[in-house]
Amino acid sequence: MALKKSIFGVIVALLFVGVSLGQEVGSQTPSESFTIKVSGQKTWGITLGFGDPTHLSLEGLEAGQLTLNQSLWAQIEGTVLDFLTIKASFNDQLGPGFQEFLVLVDRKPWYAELGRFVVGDEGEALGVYNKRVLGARITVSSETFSLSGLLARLEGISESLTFTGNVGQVELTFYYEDPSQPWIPAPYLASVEGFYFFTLRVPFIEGFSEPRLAFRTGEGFAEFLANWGLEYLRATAEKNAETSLPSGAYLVLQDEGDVLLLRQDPKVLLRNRVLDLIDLYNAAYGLTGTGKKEYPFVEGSELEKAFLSGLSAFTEIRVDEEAYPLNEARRQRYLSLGETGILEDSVVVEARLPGEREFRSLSDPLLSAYSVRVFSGKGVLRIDFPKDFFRSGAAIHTTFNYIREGGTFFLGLGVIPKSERVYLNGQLLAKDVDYAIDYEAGLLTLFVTIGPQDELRVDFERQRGALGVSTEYERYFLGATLGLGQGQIGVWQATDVGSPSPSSRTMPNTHSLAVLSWQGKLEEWDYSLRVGFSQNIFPPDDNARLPGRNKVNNIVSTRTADGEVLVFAHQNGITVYRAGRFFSYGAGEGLAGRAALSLLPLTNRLLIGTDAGLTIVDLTEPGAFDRIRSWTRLYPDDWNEGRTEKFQGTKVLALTSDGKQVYMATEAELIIAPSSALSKPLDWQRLSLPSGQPTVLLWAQALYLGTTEGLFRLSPEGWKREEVPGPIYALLSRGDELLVAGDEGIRVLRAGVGAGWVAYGVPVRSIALWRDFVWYIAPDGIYREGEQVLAGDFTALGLGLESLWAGTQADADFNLSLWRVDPEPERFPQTQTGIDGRDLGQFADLPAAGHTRSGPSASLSLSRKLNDWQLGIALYSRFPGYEEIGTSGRSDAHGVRFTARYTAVPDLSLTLSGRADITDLTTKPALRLSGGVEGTWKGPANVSFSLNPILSGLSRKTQFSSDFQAGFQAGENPAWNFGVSGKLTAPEFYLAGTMSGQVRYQPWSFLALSLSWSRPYRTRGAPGTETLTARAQLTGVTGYAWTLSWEENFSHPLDREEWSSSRNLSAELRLAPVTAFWGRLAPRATIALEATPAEWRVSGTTLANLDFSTHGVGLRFTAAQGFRPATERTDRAFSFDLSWSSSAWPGIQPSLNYTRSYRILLHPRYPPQLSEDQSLEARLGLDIPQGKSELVLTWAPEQGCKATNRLQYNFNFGPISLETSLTFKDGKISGKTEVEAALRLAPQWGLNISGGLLLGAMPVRVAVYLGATLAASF
Amino acid sequence: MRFLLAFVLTGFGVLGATVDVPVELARPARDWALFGVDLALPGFLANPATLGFAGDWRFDSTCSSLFGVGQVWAVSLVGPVVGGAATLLDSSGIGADLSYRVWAFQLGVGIPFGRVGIGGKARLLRPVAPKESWGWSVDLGFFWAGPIELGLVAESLFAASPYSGETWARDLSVAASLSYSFPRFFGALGLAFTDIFTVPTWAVAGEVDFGVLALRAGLRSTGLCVGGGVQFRGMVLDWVFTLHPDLPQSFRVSFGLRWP
Repeated sequence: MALKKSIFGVIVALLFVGVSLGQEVGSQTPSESFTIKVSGQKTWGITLGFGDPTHLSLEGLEAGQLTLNQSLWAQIEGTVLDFLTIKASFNDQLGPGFQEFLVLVDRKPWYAELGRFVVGDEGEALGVYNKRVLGARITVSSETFSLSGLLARLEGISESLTFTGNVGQVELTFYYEDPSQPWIPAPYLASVEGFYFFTLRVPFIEGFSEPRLAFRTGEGFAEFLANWGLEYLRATAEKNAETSLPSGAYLVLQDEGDVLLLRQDPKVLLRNRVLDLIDLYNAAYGLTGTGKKEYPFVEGSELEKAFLSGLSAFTEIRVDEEAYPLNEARRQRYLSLGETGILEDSVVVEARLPGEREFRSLSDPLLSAYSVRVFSGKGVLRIDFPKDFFRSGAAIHTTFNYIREGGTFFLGLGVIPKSERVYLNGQLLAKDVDYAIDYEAGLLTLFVTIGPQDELRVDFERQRGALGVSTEYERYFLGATLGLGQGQIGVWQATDVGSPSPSSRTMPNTHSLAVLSWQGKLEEWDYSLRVGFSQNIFPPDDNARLPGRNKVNNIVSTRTADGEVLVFAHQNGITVYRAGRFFSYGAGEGLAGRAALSLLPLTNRLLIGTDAGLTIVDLTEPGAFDRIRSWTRLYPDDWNEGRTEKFQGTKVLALTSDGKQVYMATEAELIIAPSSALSKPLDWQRLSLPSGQPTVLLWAQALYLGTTEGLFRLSPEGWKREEVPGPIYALLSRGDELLVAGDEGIRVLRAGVGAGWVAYGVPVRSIALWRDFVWYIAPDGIYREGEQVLAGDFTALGLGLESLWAGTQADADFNLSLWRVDPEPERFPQTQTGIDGRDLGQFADLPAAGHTRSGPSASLSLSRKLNDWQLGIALYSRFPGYEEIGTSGRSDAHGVRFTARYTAVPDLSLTLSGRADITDLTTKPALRLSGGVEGTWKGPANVSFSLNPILSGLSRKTQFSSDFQAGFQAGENPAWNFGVSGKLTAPEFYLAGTMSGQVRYQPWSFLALSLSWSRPYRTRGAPGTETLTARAQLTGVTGYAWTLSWEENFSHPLDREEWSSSRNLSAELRLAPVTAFWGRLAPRATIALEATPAEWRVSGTTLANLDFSTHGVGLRFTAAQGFRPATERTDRAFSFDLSWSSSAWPGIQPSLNYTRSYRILLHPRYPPQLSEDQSLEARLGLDIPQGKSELVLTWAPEQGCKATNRLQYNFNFGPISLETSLTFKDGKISGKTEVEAALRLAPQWGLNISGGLLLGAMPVRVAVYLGATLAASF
Repeated sequence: MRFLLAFVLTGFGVLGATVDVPVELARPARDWALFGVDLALPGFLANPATLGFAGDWRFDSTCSSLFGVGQVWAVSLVGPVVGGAATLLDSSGIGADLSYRVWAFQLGVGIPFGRVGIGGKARLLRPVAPKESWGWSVDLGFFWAGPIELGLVAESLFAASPYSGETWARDLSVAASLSYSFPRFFGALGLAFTDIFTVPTWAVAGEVDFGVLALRAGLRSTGLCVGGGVQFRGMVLDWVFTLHPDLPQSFRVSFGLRWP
């Protein structure tokens, strides 16, 4: 419906344009007026390559394959007939979000926009903020009246992210079990048990110590591999027994010695290592396609767990000649916080004990034996909790702040281009001036410095349907505004179009809004009134449809290599019961579809009919269900491949077999497949179905099909209807009798004739023959020939493991149980079976009532000037149901505020403010009174102060807090400032803040001194650290320029007396250039010293530029040394750069550049580690008639030697360039020659022809390519 | 996104085998915006019978990305009486085992007889990856340039599928359009029913042309199209945004030449 509205709106816009033109024709002689400016370029390219595929792939080509490409970019701007303006920019190499298109019609009194534009840009649309749309907006206006209408499609979902200074806040919870699936342990990094770790016996030295994962190979290891069918990997594993742990897989902590933490679950490390070994094996033997070896286990299966557990017994972590068996890794101590730079004072930890519901603070007396410690630089929380904490139900909750590095903020993927509004402390920032944004990566980079208290807010839109953003409907936006004099009214609706399908997870949302505003003047008061009402049906955070209830569809027993197992088919897959445990398998493990509808056990195979095809499980191997190669998926596409007559069905609703053939009933046909040729669908036959939807199949001397319409028997003449009305739910053969379960009960048929009833007058869903009795499921439970055995909502019966079993449908709380009915009833709850009670493929609608938010909002503001004061009063009321379109915030807040600003005296500013707010009026009202006094005075000393008291919770627990700040600043030289800031809270008295001061003095022009001091204070908690920083800088320019700077930092935690210090010293000397007969020399030197308690470092650089008359030489020498006392690690670095260039020979431009560097790591325990690097580049440029030639020679040890010559001639038709390069690396030569000619065909047309020859030696490989690109510029 | 990828990949494998999809995907932006209704507009290759009423020669080229999983490269040349197009549909960038590459060629001829036009079009399909094969079909078109323009195309009257065991069903598409002309602009509005025997689809589309600037919109069951075009110095730029009910928004821009 909304699509039709859209096209209606667009056609209206087009016709409106036509009407306007009609008026133009009728009113006056129109002036011919078309000005269109179009600029851009279109290219067509074609390339063809022949020869060695490897060389060609480096150029992006395939051998023998024509590569075609086109590109187009264009900017369009113009006016048509003086009132139609078009602005557009296109680039077909970018996505739709980057294309701009807007047509403006401006013809009084009409104004229209058609294309892509923003609604609610800085408040221009009442009730709407910053929505980018694709559609049409039409406005008609006069001096006192305006009316506009909008019809558009919304492109994105509004989001807003706020960052407080450079501090981020994180909230984490760690669990023992996965909270959404409590029968599964929590994921590794979210588990309360934390990292696996080893306490190292030898200190870890960075740069020297290298953790390695190693297998203890030998006979035992070989036997282990053979037992698991991986004997082929033995040689590869022995040859590659040891490998370095990737740097991201571990972390080393200094905590009572050095501790190695494994960031990855050891099982994942082992799995990845086995996968790497299999890849190495395949590469060594050139195995590809279906011939290559694959990882044999279903990931996460019990079989794989058993394999990895066994493998870990042969695995160890080796560090510095010490070996740590993987099985001896410990846990229950270190948790990952995910961020570094954590502010330790901000860390709050709570624990939930097993069996409890609420979290307790660690200060709770019950948790006196619990303690934590933060490793802020590593992002690790150490927990010292009693061992009995780590049980089912345990959880740890923590919040903390951390310092965010740099000025880059991650917004997430799918940001709509140009939809962002960036505010710093409420001020809108300008793109490319104050910030840059990468829309594709979702990264915002600030160019302005952000302080700890600054607030950065980014409002933007995220593309609907982008990664991480689910959207099931189109969303349209309609609106109208009417302006009359000083007033304006706007009505808007953003609505999802479409009806939910059975698998839709959300309900469509409709958000409607009406807003009225009025401004004016009443006596001396200026007023502004705004009233709004919004209704949001199925808002985004309350629109989840109800999942269906899972149910068991079928139960069979089958024999595997491990013995008899029981298989339960349900809506989310199958669950296998063996050896007293349950194991579930779904589409990810090998099922063709999500829901398992029917089961058929055959010899050594199990057939599973699903909602999207057929799955065959080969049961011949031990652990068959846990082996990838055991599963074969057959989708309808596979059934129909090569067939003329296609199968129409997709769901396999029923299965049976007569021993030689398998019969499958889909929703569209009966398929007959030979048991021996199940994997060859070409041999399958198709038979049409009788009336009704198939429900059950049974072979009992003939093929019987139960449907929703009745029972049918297949005869040579076709389907014959039996005398049992539908729907049929189950069939069972008992001797020469056929038992038919339906809505009327269980009918007995003998030779096709009715022979009584086992149960009559009650619908029967499932039947089984157990211990000579007929057991059946009625709506209220399980019966044994008329006698109720178990009450409940059962759906399937099955026999196996010498018992009768039953499956149920999940209840309203999505609890689904399995039962062993006989001999002894036993219930297996969900926590044991692991079956999700929700049917995640079926959802039901929600009623709108209960999922609708609506509410009003109103505000009135008054302002006037009264003598020397500027007064303002505002009243507001906003109920929680009120939401504006384009903002993501709601509140239940009401109140009044006033401000008074004194403006009479230029050097004095004083502001008084106060407000009273009631929050949560509709739930738990709370009153909050706050005020403020702020002022500045510029006199002999500049004084600033502010006091902001807040009184809150008057109806509950009353709290008082007040922020305060006072600052003094005076002098020019010396200049000093002093400030106190803090916060006071009551009734639990708490005072905290910071005192700071600074003195700056420049006694002489060449000497600048400063001394800074800060000291925190607080009445409780960690006392903080006092710091004192002294800086001095000497500069001189007498004959030469020099700078000497020194910074000394002292700090001490306030609960300790001893101070620690660090310093930075640097010096720079720039000598005046010396000019003599031989030329000009300009030398410069710098030296720096950095010393902290953890490390000291000294570095120096000397460089000199020597200019002869026509030659220039540059020399640079750098040396550095650092030492870490804690690890006794010394590192030294040296580098040398020499460059030369000359203009001595006309037409010849030679240059040379040589770099050499060394790095040495030293430690008393280890041999020195030396790494070095060098590179050489020589260039020779030659000016030739009508052209230029440049020869470049480069050499570096890792990259070999490369010579490149580029020759360019300029002809009348255009330039031709020839580039030849030869590379010699690792004993191999390769070369490339490329010719390129750029031809000017016509003023706007150009043709670029290129060709290349690629050569490789040892072995000899040749490739050739030719290409042409035609370009039209306009 | 997984659904999108699976849909497009499955679609490539299945739809890429049919003649229609590579041909339709290659339509220039103007033809795409007027999809279906162009059967009843003069000078469009979709209905070869309209070629006899083409006023000038048109060369169009389009390169478009299919939701990032494939590329369409297309060129077409249409003029009085004759027209042709070449298309390459390529998704080889997805992965070694998921590579589809299909060439499609069209050649149409249309002869006018007064107000009536009759034409025929041959379509050639050449799948290259994953398997090489050939397929072809022949269409017949009819066009009446009356007060209301009517177009009719009988598709795949004779055809051979490039895939064994598959047949291409014959199909029928019809359209009607009304052109209007004012001193300063002209345009067209039309209605179409395409693929009546296989996947019946309706379409409505319209165009307003000021000479230098044109604005277009089209609605069909598969989505809404909004676009336009500018003409300058014998060159033409056309563009169209397509809003799909189930897939992300797509965009197409074409560059063309017009002469004389």
